[in-house]
Amino acid sequence: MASFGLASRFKVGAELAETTTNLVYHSTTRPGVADDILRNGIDPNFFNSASRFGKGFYVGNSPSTTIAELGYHGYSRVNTIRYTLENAKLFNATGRIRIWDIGVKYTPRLLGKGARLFNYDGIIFNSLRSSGTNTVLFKNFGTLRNGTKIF
Amino acid sequence: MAQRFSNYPKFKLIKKSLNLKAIPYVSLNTNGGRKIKVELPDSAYGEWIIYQKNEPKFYFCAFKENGEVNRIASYAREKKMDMECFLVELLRTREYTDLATKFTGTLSIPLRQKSSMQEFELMQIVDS
Repeated sequence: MASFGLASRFKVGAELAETTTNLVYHSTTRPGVADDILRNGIDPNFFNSASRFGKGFYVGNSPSTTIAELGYHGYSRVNTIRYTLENAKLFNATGRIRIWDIGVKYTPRLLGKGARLFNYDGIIFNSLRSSGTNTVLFKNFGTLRNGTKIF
Repeated sequence: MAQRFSNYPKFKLIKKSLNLKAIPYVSLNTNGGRKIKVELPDSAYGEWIIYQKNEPKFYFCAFKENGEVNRIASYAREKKMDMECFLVELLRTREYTDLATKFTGTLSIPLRQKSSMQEFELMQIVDS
């Protein structure tokens, strides 16, 4: 019964899913991390399962969004990488149905599990720390292209 | 098994003070009481807090001050081991138990309004 409820919720989500081509940004908090990512690629083994939606690569739609996210946790950015995000199958939790904001805030793990279950590459969601949006990618990191250190 | 452990990179534990976002949880289970969950930014890459008995105790960063990946993380990367499992296993070799890389908030209510930055003295796992 519970799984039926989850499935029906994600049917709504499926209608909202989108394929995007956007510039996205990832800010790092330690020297060398950005260089390591650009040199060796994104290593899923370096993700933290305690992150909001679980293991994933988190990017923002602007450098200021990523800085606001870090600042909330008392961290400062050291570097920022800019990527082009192309053709990722993202679950869109930023739509007019504001219920997804509640999901992002209170049940992000459930949302993350649902998106994985329905084979999304990631989730795009409103930032709780700024007016921008964030994206978490669980897989298919090849959709992040042209990584360039801009700061 | 013992041979596998003997191949592990040598490490030491040093005290490390960290300012972290702390979220108090009120536990509803039989033990009751208050627990603290600490949060790293979502975009934390190569950084972990390890809990012992659901309390933040250890910290690991895969990167050295000079930006290079340290030997512990390089070993796990080379052997394609899950880093979180590997860190727990490393600490077990020093007989630490009840370890987890995530806070367990089952039957607990987060008091997000009371979250604050707090200084924690953790044990950092570093190359020796």
